[in-house]
Amino acid sequence: MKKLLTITIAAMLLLFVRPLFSAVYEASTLHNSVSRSETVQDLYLKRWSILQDKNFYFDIYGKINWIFNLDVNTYNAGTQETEATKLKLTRTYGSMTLAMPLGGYRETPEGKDFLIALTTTGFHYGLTKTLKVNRGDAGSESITDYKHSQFFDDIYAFTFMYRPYFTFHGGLIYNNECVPEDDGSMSYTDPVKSYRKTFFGIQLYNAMAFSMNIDDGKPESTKLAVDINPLAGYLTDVSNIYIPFVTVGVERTAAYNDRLYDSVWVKTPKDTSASYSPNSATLNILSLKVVQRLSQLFTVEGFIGAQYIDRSIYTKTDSRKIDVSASKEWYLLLNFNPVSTAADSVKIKAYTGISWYWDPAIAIHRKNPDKGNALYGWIFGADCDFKHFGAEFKTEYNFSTELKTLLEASDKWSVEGSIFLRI
Amino acid sequence: MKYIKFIIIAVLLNTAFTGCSYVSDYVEGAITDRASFSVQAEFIAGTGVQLSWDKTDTGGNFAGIEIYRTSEENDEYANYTLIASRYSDSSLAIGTTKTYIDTAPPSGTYFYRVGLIHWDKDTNERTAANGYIPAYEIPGWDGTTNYNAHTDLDKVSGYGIVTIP
Repeated sequence: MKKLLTITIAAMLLLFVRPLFSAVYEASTLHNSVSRSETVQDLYLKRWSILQDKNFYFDIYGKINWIFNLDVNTYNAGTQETEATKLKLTRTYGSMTLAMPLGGYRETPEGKDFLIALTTTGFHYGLTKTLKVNRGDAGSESITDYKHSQFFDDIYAFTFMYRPYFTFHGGLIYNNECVPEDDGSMSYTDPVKSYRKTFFGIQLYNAMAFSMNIDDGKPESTKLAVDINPLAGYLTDVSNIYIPFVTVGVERTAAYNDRLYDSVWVKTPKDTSASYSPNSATLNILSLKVVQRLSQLFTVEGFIGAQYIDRSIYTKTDSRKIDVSASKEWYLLLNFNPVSTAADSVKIKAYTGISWYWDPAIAIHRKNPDKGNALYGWIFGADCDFKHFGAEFKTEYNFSTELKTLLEASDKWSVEGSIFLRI
Repeated sequence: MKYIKFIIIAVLLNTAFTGCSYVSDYVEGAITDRASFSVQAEFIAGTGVQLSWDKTDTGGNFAGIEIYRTSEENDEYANYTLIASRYSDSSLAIGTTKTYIDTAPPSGTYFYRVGLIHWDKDTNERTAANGYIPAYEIPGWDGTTNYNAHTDLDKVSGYGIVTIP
């Protein structure tokens, strides 16, 4: 089994990895706990968006994402020098949910039931170095070492649902940072830094979703998404599958805080050789998503986001004021997802699409910084969801949903696979 | 009552998992053969490089211990090459062995690792039908052909660094 997995991974590498010549990073630029909290929270809510309509008692889900060929300044104990070294960014995600209906599960999606659930969701994020071991006549194998700090973000959450009217999620987010030994191994038990944040999310009528995470008593990230169709359903008949499904979203994130790992300065450029008073800027995003069924087999999905940053931002490289684009993101996906004929039937989906994404950090992470702060991207993926298990695979290059969670992925291929078990 | 039982079980399970981030990383580390234990390397004049490690393997699929050394000096990220296995030192056929001496190391700074090797099948499945040569079925014999064709690196140590004069 292990050999099969190794061959599969090797085949993926052969297919998708090309030599890349991007910027050389300091590992510290990858340490933004704000975006990591958002990511683990987004992953949690994304998993629940799938589970919320299912009748289940136990769900376990795992995902591995690799981004290859990041050049990171790394100490070499042989040369005793710090040098640009090709590392792999490894992100793993696991989730376990235990659910229990109070009084039995509803029999139809239109029915009512009460449900309580406990979920633990975790996200690991860190750099690793792959090395070759030649075992002589037994062949070669790859091994990996941890390099630089490793981050472990976990949510422990409680969910109460009164379907189909109301859902509440509430819990704690723990961010832990562990430092590996020089020899590449690491103990999980002794984090060097730990943060705790709280978060909650509310969903009403399967139509409005609101979520917030709070750090030190202040909201760090707030999101609201409203599905128009269920609301319109109270006024008119929207059951025709060819009526476009429309979602409007608003986000507000404390995205720029004059921290050393931030990509920009806020309000005025700062001199890091002296002490300075940090400023903060908020990123506001207004978005529109439309899903249109084209036929029994195909749908098309479009998304566009506009942005407003409430203070001026400046580059860290030459203290130049950044001309912020009014557009944040758009993408267009063509999905092969046949219409389901019954609840809990097999669902298969394959998709491909293009995107565009703007962020002030893109110029830092792309191959050619002179090309600006916007990137076009591409994605291909497939999901299968059987009643009790399923899997997902995707590969992407600069796709906006990936850049949103990790800008360091600019101009790099990303490969991701996941599996789940649901009872 | 059944809800109280459910809540207690859920809390216990959540506590037992102590963070899915660690569990998911552990799984990825097992797939990619992450360094998972330590080895110390020390040069002793007149003896060689003495290695000692803190892991044993008494599992049913244990096939042997292998010792690797970087193929180039002064480079932590150089490829590793096999320098010893159960076929060059019989102590490496025993899972409780925790030391090894490299008696003829080259001069320079080198990195050593220890690998724990497993058969790819359980004992009763190492048969001709699964590609093992029949001689394997002779008790006590597990020849290099089977070893080379049917073993994988199960766990590997971090590096031990040593400078050899």
